[in-house]
Amino acid sequence: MNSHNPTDSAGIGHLEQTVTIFRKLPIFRETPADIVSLYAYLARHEKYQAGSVIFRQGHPSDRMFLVIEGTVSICEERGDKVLFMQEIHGDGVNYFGELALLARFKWFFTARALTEVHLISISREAFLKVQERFPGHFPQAVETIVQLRIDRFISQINSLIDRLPDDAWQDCPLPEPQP
Amino acid sequence: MRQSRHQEIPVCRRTLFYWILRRHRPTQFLLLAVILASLFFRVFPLEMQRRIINEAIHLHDEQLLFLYCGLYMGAVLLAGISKYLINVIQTVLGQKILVEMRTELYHHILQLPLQFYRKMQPGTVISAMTAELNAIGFFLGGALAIPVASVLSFLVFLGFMFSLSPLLALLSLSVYPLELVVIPLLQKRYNRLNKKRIKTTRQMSNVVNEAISGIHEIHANAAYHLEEQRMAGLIDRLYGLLKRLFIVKYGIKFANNLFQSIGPFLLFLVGGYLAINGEFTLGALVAFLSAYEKVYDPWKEMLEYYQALQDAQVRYRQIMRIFDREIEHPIRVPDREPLRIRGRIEIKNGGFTVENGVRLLQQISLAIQPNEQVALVGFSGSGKSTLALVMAQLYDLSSGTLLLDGHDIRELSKTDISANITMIAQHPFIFSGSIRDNLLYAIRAGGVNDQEISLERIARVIRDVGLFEDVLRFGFGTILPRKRVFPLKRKLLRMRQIIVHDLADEYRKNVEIYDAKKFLHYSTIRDNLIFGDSLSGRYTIDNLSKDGQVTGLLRRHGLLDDLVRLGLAVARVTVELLGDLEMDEFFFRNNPMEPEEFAEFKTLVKKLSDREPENGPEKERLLTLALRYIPALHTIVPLSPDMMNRILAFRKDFLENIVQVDMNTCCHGLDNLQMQQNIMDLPSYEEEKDFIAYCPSEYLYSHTLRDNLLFGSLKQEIRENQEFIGRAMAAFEAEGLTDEILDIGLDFDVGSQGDRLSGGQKQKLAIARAFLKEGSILIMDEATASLDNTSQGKIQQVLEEQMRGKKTVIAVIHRLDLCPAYDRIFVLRNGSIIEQGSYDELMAAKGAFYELAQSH
Repeated sequence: MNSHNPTDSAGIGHLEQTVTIFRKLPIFRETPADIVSLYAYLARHEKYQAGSVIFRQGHPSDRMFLVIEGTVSICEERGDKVLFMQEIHGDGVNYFGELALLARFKWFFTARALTEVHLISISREAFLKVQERFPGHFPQAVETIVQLRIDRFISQINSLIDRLPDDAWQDCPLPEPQP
Repeated sequence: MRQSRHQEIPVCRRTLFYWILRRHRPTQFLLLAVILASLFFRVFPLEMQRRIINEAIHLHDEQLLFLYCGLYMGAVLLAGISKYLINVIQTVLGQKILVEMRTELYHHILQLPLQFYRKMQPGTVISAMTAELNAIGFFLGGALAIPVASVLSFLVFLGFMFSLSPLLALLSLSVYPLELVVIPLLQKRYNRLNKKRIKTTRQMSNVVNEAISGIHEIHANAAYHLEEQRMAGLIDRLYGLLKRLFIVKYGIKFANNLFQSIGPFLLFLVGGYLAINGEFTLGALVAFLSAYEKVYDPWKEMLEYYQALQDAQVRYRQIMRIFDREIEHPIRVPDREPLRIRGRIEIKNGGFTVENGVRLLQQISLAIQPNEQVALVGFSGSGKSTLALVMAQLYDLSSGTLLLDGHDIRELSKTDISANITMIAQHPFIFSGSIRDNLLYAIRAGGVNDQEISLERIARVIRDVGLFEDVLRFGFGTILPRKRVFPLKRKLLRMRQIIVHDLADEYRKNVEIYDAKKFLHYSTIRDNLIFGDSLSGRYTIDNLSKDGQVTGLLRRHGLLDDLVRLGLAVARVTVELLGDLEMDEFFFRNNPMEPEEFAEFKTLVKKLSDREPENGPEKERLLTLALRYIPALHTIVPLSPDMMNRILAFRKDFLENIVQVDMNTCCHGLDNLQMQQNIMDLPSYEEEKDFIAYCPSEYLYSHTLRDNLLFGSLKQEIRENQEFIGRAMAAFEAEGLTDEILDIGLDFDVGSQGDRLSGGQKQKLAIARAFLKEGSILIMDEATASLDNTSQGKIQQVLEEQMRGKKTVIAVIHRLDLCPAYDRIFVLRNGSIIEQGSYDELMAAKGAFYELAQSH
């Protein structure tokens, strides 16, 4: 069970601060200032204690997360086995669940707080409402999300490849030479 | 008609005067007596007029003048009083007759067969039962007395005139025959138009009724213009009709007035001539003129009565014509108790044809044994639902017979049927009222008292249908009145303790407890300041900004201006963020401003520009916004630690010095609550106080039950707390506390036609209503079709475990995977049974059922 209490220390998580955080993020680099403010207004600050589950594989997805502080682990569950996929830190690839903005699906991985984490989430509903108001911005937003997905995909593949034993490497098959 | 309440003429075949003459004769006579008395008081002043002029003035006798004037005045006064009495008696009488008419007609209408309602628009019935009957009511009271009184008055005044001068009296009468020709002609035309008007008004009711019923489709298709066009045609037609109607009506009035004025003309001419020549006294002429005026009143009344009678007759016939239909089954068969049926159903050569000749059922023959569970299946339009309705006596077979335990269903009364058969419709109707009202509807109809149905039984049934948790949720969402809380208070506080203490870890994560010493980030600024509620509503957000005592205290704590500034900051940021966006409720979820207030605050922000608000109303509005502000939720502007401290200081001052709350007891109580010690009882006199602080031993009357049990503010939306809620429920259940919440939840108001319930909840409620009712036969017409698989499975389980061997079950089903659970399946096509047998037999036969199963 999570616990987010953004204003335990006064003022943390207020709009101006969220806007400042957003402006530093690469994903909002191309986004006009008024739209960034609107996202910041609709975003939610969430805090999780170390060890708590942010969401569980199989549960319906409804929002994407930006990691502001702390480390999140991404794992895939297969039956009773768990495959560790990636660690997400406040710096570097600092987001997950981006596809939830575009489609309804059940989470295909579990996200857990490894340390105390501070996240900002943007719900699909908020994303769609903003797109409704600024339809011209939509293609660029979709492209950004796809790009984010590709970056994360590459990052995850790299992380998995790094952990592969050497004997897993083999030559890329080529077509048999024609007689 | 086979059945009528009074064994009299059937309701719709009665004449209008039948209702008038049937009862209330003493009142009718009283009315007549008052009218007769009033006649004397109306004629007497005329005689006084003559005597005042001819005797008192002529003889210069002052004594006589005073006497006659006094008598004149007395008679006029009594005439006025008697007129007043006549009006009152007449209205009361009319309304009494109307009550009888409406009651008996409604009794008749409710029993009309379903077939009648298939082609009858609700608007027509509503219009007839309400406005159209009302219009008749005004006529009914005076229907007898007015014509009698008018004729008598006419004759009396005429007699008086003849006594004064037969010649002039005859002259005055000469205009009447003309009127007798002209007025009825105009009236006939008026009646024709009136009939059309009623018809058009009914069509209008139907169009409006249909539009409201289908409002979803209209909104979804943006079909506003189509509906407006339909209405516009009727509006135009009604305009045309009313225009002509009033032209004729005023024509009648004009004719009346014209004839009335011709009289005095003749009288002045001839009477004046006679008076000049000394053949008629001046006093007699004055009295004669007065009498002429008076004689015209009853004449006019007669004409008006004639018009009103015509109007009422037209309306009455129009109403009765609609409902003039046979009632097919009596409510009860006299001289015997309702039958008890074991549940055998037999149909021989059953056929059912609707009025346009379409055959919905033909050659149906079947026999269902008591306690057998059968399914009726087939493609849509195959007649399976119609067959179910026929078995429930909602439709009557057009040919063949249907026997229930050997009794012909046509001979059975509605009470016989309802005592034995329970029907669940595909789209059941939910009545306005509470869940309990709907659950007990069938039972109450059977004459059983609510007290005879235990809460335990209700709980079992709503658990069976899967409605239990929904009802508990309704219970949690209820704001309980004091008298309901009082006997439960101890149990409710125990629940609070379970949540706060027994589930302490979960609680701390999910709820911010009401701690008198701490700033509450998840509560409004208002709750932070006042930390309680006044039962009189004095400290609501809207009232606070106008409360001089509170604003004075805010000012002393240096908070008033800061809060106004907070409100202004919220307004400015919101306007800046959402300035050009179209209003959408979604954008205001994390904002203390309501969407509909946006325009007002936008204007205010623009007006203030960079300056601070100065006048009272502006400050009040901004203060209201600040009081609604929830720091953890409305993060658009920050709140400084210094301000939070000042708010806490205000709270302490307010609680201790303004509303006299013992802060020590309150804080100590919180420690007790969290440490699982007993919740401290308050002295009994404190139960009567107006201010209830958020202290652990208090029930917060202005909060929902859920908020009371949580005793704090949730940190996230309720749907994200399912785990916590589940654990709390289990703990309540373990201590046997859920019954109380269930009982409260049963009083949840379902709204008009159950609008506050979801489709599934409505269906489950209807199933629970049917399960609560005793009876040997249960007919389900696709009763679970709108439920999800789990819920459907639950219902099926009840049929299997609780009804097997006890009830005959007939289920119209669409989903063939439910079929194996039934003893026998009847397959229908084009209104005939084409196959029957067990699931295995039908599948093995590879016939129509097999094909149907394959196509699914």
